[in-house]
Amino acid sequence: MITFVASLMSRLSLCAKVGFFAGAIAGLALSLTDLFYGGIVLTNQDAVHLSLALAIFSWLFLLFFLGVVFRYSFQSFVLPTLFNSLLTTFVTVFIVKYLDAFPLAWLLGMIIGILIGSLLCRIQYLLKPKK
Amino acid sequence: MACIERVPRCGEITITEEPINEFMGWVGILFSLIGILSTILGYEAAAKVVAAIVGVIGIWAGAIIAGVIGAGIIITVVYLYHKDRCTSRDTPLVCIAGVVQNIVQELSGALEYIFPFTAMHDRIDLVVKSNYWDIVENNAKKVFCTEEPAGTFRTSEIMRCYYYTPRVCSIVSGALVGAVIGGIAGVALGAAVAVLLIGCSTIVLCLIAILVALVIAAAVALLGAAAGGLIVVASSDNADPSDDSGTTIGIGSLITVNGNILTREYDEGANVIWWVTNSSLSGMAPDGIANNPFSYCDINDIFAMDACPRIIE
Repeated sequence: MITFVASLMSRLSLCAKVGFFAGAIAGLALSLTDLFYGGIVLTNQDAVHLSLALAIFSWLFLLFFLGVVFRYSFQSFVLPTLFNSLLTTFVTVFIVKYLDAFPLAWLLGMIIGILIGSLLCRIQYLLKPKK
Repeated sequence: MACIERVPRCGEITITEEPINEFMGWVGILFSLIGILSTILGYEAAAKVVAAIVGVIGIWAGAIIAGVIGAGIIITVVYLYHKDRCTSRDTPLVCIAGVVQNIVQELSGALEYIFPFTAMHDRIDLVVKSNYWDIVENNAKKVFCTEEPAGTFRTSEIMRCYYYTPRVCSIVSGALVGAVIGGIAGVALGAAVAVLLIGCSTIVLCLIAILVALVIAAAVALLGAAAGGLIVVASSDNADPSDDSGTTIGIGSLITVNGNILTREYDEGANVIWWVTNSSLSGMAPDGIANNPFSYCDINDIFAMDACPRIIE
């Protein structure tokens, strides 16, 4: 099973993988909180605070895994992963809040993360100066 | 110069499996399982049971569980490094020969000093003679090559050869002990900070308290791993890689290497020698040949008689 999922992952760009990770963490945290506290009602201010906390949390783990374990150079990913995490987490939290889909937030987070990550990679590719 | 018509296979295969795919795969599976479970438990009947359990265990238990997860992640990572660095593989023995292009020692960069559990065994990068290219290429997802200007036909294949360095295993073992000690302290510290300083008065604060407990436990476990590894680094000496006679290997050494061949994900799926079982030096490459990079064309000539056994047909 892991070989199959890893082969699916190999089709994603690194930005999409980063988005996937950030979205999965944000979504899972929302689903679990909903489970344990039974029905979350978030104000916009709550959602902003929560998004920031989750983005920083997933970014710290990404720093560790990408920089230390997978040996990417820190310069190459510190800011892009921070931006990716912030965007993915904010969009995930607000979409889940809008749809009131907290039990399925984990799945939405993964999908939103992959979409945002892929989009960011695409934008980066288009903005890259052509030789 | 003994260049041959056949070109090296470097760059022929473009798909490189990175270990990150497997890691993200595990994240996907684990998070999906927890997510599916939480969705099922989210239904009313199950939710009442969960709410009752949460009511009993309270925020302290939540913070401690989060801390255990955070510390557990770091301890698992250090353990995986220990397993990777200190396990020999029962793979086929091969013999190759060539010239040493590069030497990478166990603590080669700042990252290894900050996180010593990432230390790697001493490695020599060998520009191999063309009659050993089949060994370098066999079932490999990647072949390392020298960088030559286009159209010179001197591009050569490189085999990474790792020398088992006992100090590396000691460092990673020290880091593992440090991670466990740090993890225990981190769980206690994280839970205390989360509950006493942040608390659980609103749902957002509750979630932040849990995340803080997890991050603090992971950070202290990481500090413990760094401290444990650095203690071993400080109390042991570095030794340069050497051949069987004890002669130190240098860049430009002509060498024959025997060892177990392995396709290693952390080397981008290339074949490597993990580890060298024995090696013998045959002098140095002469000054007159191109050495940045070396080329098999010259090495085929000047190192015609290496120490690998010949099969007489």
